[in-house]
Amino acid sequence: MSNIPTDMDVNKRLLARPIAGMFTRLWTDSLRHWVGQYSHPMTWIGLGIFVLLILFSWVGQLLYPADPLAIHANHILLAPSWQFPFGTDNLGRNMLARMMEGGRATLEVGLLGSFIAIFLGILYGMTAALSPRWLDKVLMRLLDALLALPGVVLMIFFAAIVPLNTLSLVLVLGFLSWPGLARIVRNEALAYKERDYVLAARQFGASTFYIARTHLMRSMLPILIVNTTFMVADLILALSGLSFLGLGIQPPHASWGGLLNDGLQLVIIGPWWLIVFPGVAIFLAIVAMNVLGQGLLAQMEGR
Amino acid sequence: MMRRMIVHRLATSVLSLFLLVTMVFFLIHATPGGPAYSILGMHATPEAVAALNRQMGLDHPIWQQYGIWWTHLFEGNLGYSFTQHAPVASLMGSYLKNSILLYVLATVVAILFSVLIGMFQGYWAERIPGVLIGAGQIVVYSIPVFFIGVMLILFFAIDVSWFPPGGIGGGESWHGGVNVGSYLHHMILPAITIALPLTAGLSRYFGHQARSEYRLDYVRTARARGVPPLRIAVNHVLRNAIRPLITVIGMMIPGIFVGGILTESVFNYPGLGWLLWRSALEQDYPTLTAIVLLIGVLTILGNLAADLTNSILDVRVRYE
Amino acid sequence: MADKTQHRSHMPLRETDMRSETTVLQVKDLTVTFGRGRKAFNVIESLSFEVRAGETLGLVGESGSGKSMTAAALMGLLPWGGKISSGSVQLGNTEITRLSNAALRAARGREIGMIFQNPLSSLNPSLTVAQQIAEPYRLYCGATDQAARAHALQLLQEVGVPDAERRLDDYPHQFSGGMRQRVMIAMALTCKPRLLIADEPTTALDVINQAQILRLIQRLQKEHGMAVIFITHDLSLVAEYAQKVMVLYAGKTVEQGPAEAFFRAPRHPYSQALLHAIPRLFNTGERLGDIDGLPPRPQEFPVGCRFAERCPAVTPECLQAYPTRQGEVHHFYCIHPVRGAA
Repeated sequence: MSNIPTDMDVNKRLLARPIAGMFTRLWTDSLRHWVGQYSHPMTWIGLGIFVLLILFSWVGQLLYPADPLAIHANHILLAPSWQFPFGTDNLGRNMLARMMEGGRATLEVGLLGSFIAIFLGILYGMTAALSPRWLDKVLMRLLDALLALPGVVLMIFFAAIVPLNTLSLVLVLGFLSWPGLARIVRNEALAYKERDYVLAARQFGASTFYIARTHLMRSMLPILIVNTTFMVADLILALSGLSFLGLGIQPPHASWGGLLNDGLQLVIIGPWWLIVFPGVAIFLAIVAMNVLGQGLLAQMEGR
Repeated sequence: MMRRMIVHRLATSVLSLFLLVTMVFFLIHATPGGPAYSILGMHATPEAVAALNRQMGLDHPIWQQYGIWWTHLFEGNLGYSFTQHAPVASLMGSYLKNSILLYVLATVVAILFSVLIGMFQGYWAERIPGVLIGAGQIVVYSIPVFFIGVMLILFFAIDVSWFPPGGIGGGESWHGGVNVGSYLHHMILPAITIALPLTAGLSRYFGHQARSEYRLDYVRTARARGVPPLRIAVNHVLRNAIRPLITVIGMMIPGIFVGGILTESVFNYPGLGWLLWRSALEQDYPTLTAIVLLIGVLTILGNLAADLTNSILDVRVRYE
Repeated sequence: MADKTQHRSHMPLRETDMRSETTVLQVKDLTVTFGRGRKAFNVIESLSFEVRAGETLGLVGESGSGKSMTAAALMGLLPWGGKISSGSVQLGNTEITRLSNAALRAARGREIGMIFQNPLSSLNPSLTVAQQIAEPYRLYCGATDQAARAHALQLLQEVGVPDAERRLDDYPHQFSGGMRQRVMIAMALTCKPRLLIADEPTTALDVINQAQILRLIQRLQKEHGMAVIFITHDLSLVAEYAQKVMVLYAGKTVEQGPAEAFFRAPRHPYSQALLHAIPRLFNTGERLGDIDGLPPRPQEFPVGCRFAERCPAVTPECLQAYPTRQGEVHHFYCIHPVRGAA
């Protein structure tokens, strides 16, 4: 008789480790069950490519410890060779090392920006979905207005007026991308809010936060993940674009977009290695995320 | 019912415009030291800054400046560019024209090819050709537009000299009048650059439409009547699949601008996007804000137009 | 267009031979296969039947028995991956299985008409009725736009659409269900086909429309001397409108013969079960018979009789080999037939 948990015990267990618990339980319960069920090759291809890029950028440094800033005055503009596998630029810097550093900067800012956008998006969307109708209407009207604004143009604008370091870039990217996700979150949450299990949970007195965290998040997770992958692709594209324009990650720090721009400046000479490597890297990152998203979509529809 | 929806959309657009202008204004003035410092550089003397402030009316209280800003906008006074040494409004005229020419060309090309590819993909969906096209679309869609531009320059302008690597043509043609040929010659590579990702996305959408149309019963009936496949494609399926086209194009307008901005900077094509880029780099705030506002307004209007046509078409179909 | 050169000159010759008792369609040992190599499977096997001018063949079977596949095979409209692997289909003097795609399309436009179950989705919503009816006429009977339009008007009147002149330019969604089915019939009859295939034409209609449509088809059949294949799962309709009956189960014919003989004394247990499943007006105290289980999937067709696992009269011999044919004009495939002449 004394093993029956009382209300107090249940509450304690529910409230303990809120955020971390949310993620670990979501993984073990829903994700693993859902991922294991029907696997699409595109999912693994996309994920694989992206993981390779991450490994290249971070682990590569350990395996190939060349200094991206070191200038080799005697080895200017060399095509790829054993000594310089990706060639050198006009200052004689090792392109392979620069590509690795560029990868770190690009992927880091892209992923961090995505996190911010996801966080804000979920916050706003959930709030709108779970609030009284009038508030939801107001919030959505505001959101629609925000969505009509041109994102990239505003990014360029912001980049012109804020100091350009990692933090500000991450913030700019995040703050200009969350509305898209917010609308999806709100629509999905609204739909799932009316499901029977939510009504049942309300019956036994579950708080709104509990419902949001446990039921809604869990149901929305697949769609959230799919949209997140597309958003990461967009953000990496945006960041590379900004760096390409000189409005993103500033020299001498490398970024794939910046390296591509450097290559463009020298295009008259025709150094393909300065152009192809950064361009293909950006392309791979974007295509990996897009393919991953498409694969996940296909997996979901296949059920 | 419909009137309410139109009013709703209009109100949202007005709100967007208002947010845009307000945000731009306050952000400009939120920079440390105000816009004057940014224009004159961080080492400007306090007297120079004060003089500029007085000249630009920056010493008034912020709300008064805000109001003046709105009146300026309505008057068409977009400020003066210190880097280009010209009133912004006159600057934007020719740049805008160049951009529109380029974007329209790119859009027309994109639509034509998208319809063709989409119909093909719809017919061959789930067979090998359809799958290959689908894969190709994802790949092309993922290539950054500026990478496409750089590669095109490398191959078609440097390795072989078929096209110029940038700029815009013009000048007199040999029999007087506008040298259209030169313009086109300079516009082809940038137009292809903008059109490529656009086509990938649009044809993907079209492919889905065509695919569902082809699976509908009336296609089976038409086949049963012996209608040849080409006629089925054009008269039956295309007619239905093309209906949402206008809406989709409206939704793609922001994408066209983004592609345009990046492409113009790659090709040094003197359009609005190029000007935006240069003014951002040089911190030419008056020009920058003017362009941001203009593109913002165009984007908002584009979305509004797409929304409205969508609702109108929808209602008509529903009414039928 | 290259198509037109392959057309025979139309109409007069055929009208006369439609009046006589000629065989319009003759099918021998038709087998339709899907897939390739080891994963190949047959959806219909060794079907043989014939239909004469002015005659109606009722093709009966449950879903999955292959009746729609048969119709598709006759029209040359098999879905991707399917083909006629053996057998012959002769329409008049022409072997359909050997025709080129273009000739096949011509045949579909001119010789065979087909109507489908769901009239709303089967019509193009953005074309007018006149355009859709006139299309095959313009393509294969070589007519001008005005002649085609006049022809469409005449057809609409013939199928009983009131106020036909005004309704020519209406769109499909402006018609009611029964009217739409009439429009479909008009479309199918545009070039005066010799054969009409009706695939569950009335399943989506209410009872009154059902009767009207079927009587319309009957009338048109008499007037034009068409052969009709009437595909349905409803035996009561077959009893009323068909002269010949063919029962399909799991891709093979289980019983076939003149309607009178069939309904008087069905021999195959499946046919008998189907008859017992028809609700009766009298003797309502009896329980409605039904058949437990489901037909086997094409990939899982057993070696012996395919009805064996649901058959009340099954014995071990039934599972060993497919029963041989018994009987002549009225024939069936069963080693334990129901006693004849009830």
